[in-house]
Amino acid sequence: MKRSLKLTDISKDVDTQLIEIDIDKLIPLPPPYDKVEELPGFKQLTEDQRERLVCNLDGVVSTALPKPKNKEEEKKYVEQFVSGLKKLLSRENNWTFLQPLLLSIDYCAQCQTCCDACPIYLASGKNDLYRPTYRSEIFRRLVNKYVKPGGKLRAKLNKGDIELNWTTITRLYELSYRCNLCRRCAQSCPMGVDNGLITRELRKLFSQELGWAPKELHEKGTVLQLEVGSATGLRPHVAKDNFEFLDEDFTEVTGIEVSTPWDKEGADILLIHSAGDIISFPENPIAFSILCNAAQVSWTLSSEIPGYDGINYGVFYDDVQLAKVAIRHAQIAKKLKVKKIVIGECGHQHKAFMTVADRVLTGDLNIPRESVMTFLENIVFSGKIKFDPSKNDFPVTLHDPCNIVRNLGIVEPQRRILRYLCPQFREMTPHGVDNYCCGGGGGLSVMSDVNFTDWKVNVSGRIKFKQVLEAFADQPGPEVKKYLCAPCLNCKLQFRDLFAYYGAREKSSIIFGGLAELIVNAMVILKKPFITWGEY
Amino acid sequence: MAKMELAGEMYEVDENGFLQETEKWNEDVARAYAAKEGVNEVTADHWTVINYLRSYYLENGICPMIRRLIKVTGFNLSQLYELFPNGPANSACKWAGVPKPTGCV
Amino acid sequence: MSGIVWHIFTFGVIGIFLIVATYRTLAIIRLPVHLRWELAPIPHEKGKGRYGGSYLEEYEWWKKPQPRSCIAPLIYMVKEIFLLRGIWKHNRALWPLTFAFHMGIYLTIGMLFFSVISAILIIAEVPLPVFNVFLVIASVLAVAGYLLGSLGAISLILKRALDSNLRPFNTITKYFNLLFLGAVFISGSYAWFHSGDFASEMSLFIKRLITLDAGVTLTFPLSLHIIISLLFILYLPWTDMIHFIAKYFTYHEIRWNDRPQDEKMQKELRGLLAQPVSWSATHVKADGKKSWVDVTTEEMSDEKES
Repeated sequence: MKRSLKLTDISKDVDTQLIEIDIDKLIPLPPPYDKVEELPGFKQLTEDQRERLVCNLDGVVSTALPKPKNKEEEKKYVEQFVSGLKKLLSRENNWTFLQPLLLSIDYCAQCQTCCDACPIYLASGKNDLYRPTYRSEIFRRLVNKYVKPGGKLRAKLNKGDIELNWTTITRLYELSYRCNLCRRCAQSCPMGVDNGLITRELRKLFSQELGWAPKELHEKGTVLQLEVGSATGLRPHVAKDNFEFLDEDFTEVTGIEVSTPWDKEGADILLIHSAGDIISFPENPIAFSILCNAAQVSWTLSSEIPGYDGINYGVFYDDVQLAKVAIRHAQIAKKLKVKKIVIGECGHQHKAFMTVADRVLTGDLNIPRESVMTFLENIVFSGKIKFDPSKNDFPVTLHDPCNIVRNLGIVEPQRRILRYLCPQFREMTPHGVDNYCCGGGGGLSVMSDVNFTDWKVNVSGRIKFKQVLEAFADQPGPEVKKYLCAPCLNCKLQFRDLFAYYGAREKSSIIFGGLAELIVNAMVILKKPFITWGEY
Repeated sequence: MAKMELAGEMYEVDENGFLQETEKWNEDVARAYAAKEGVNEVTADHWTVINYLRSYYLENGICPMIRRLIKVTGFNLSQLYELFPNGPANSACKWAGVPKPTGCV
Repeated sequence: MSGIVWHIFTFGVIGIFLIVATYRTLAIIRLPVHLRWELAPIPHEKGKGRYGGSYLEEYEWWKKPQPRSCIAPLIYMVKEIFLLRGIWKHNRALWPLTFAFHMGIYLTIGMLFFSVISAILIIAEVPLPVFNVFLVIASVLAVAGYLLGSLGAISLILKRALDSNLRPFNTITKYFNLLFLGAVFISGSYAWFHSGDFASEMSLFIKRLITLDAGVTLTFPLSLHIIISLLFILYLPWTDMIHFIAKYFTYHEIRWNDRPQDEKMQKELRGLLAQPVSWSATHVKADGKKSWVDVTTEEMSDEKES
């Protein structure tokens, strides 16, 4: 029987790793991915990295926190952690999530039901460190001790008192980025406690009080987006120039006129893509241009900072950044006098803009926001475009982005499209609101520092990869080309990492792409296939 | 900040080995990166790609999309992978001394 | 124990329970409106609750009415409360233990209810035959409730102590709560088996409480049981065992709270957005005086410096 990790272990042995990830304990994958020897292996931390960075969790580093210069610095951050805990429980500083947080702190029965719903815990071979309850219970005990009245006395009497020191806070910081915020744990909790929420509150504490946040989410994320227009570094004139190039290129390739309008005041719709698609998966935004024009929709993109990049990483780690980005997006739409905003194929953009930040957009910032799924469904079934589903006659399965499906309840529109346009469409098991996260949720898909990618493809994305293979189990070999429909940019990035690591394109001929490309591929008017199966 | 020795000099790199101070790049740096990936001769074809990547980045603040790279240089994706073992994003950009792309790319 | 002390003790405990429980409930209600954090499946979505769809699946949803089902959330809560639906679905191994435990509680409450009815009927001097039925029901509910509850409590304590999944998370409070409620059930079982006619005695005791009759006489087992039960009720509202109240909020106010803004909410939100922010990180640029509106809409030109 393996030794159980204790809650109190979090504060001990500052320079030692808390656990070791054992590749052999991870749940097995179906062939031909079941032979561990044939896979690239797990990138280990170098001596130099162990010297410079805090590496005390699980042999994986995502936040690249530099070691402290001296004891004073450690003390300062520990004190800030306590002041942050108090602010998290205050009305002025955390009205945004105070009621959900307090209820999650006070009513957990520690029954561990949530753990069996967590894809990371399961995929890791049930490693105690990755239990949703592990980090939440430590956080809970610290809150009870330092914020609730009489906390210190009760902690002493109740056994299991957690020591608060540099080791505790650095491990909690890194551990808060071992969660996809997929909220399967919340779904399975009979009390209504939400460990995904607690993880996000932890991240928020570190960001808003200590100024600690992964650079991909903050400095090169929301901060860069608000400054130059996009977290990718894409500036407005470069975005427009790229689209000009794409319009021309795809006009050549498809034989139909492809054009993308910018800054049209008074258009009905402001469409906001995730700017990364423009660089990495341009077929997707261009597919929208083709569809909108063919359906004679009155639409526009915006070249104002950050109106052409719909991402909002604040939803992963910081309420202030969340609000800043959401307000900017709404202000841009207001200036263009559009009737509604349509959110592109990006999961967290949906959750951030349509629900979480909704109550920050008061008054005339409360412009109607529509999901890409209902928007596309309306176009497909409007009768304005002729489709030939036989052009999509290859196995297709659907990945449900957590933030669109489980968090917003948008389940059927995309399925109606796929059932109509894809004769060989099949579901994964489980699917819909019971789906598993791709493993890149919660901002993890854009975090690739040090050796984090190896953790994502081996642990957090493992169950998803297994699901994809099982969905295509009737034709697993490379002779049949198969399409994984993943209508979310962050999910596509995770799939890109997963498929590259496991060689899924070579071994199983599976490619991934968005929903809009599948729709355009079925358009009668296109003489050549729009989907090129990864060839250019 | 991590450090790496390239062509006899120490440079600041990120945790994935990408050059942090792009202005310090020179052709020897590119050759050193190539050698680390097992490419001992950097040919004219390599330079076409590297120079285009670098000039586009310096002008626009971001790497060009693959479609553009393919169109401008005339190499298709397989040819790019033949030249650069880890592909355009992970090898070519690195050898060209531009920072690793961030955000959703 | 002398008669009148029972009255003071019982009504005192009930009073304190009501005050503390009400206070804690109000404390939850008075918390500010929060950002949306809903989670599918939401049962009130008419016609879609089954697969977890929401009104956001409708094209231009803001132009359409949002039909809500009143009955579906009710059915969901009934299944959750009485059949422990969540545990059945997600943690089958735990279900028999916790179902027995909770059923013990519900049946005991049922017994109390029928005992009170009988007591009222005695006071109102209703003829005998009708009176007997309620006592029979109360008696059956009592023995079933106490036995199931005892079984449930003992098995849960054992599971907590022996299951390696649960053990790292146990605290003294966890065991204490289970032991305390277990003592209520076990003392109840003892009282039931010791007595010739448990339901009559209970009903008589209640009658004497209501009529402020100081002539209360109880057997030792029954008085022990009543004392333990009252002490438990006194302890209950201070603990997290009032999750039976909190669950209303975690479901209705958070998980199923998908309401778009309305006038009332907008007013409250404007007030909240005007509150001062004092987070210390440099990118927040808060000084304890600037409000949420200030901090989130200021010029972003010097973002990079922070």
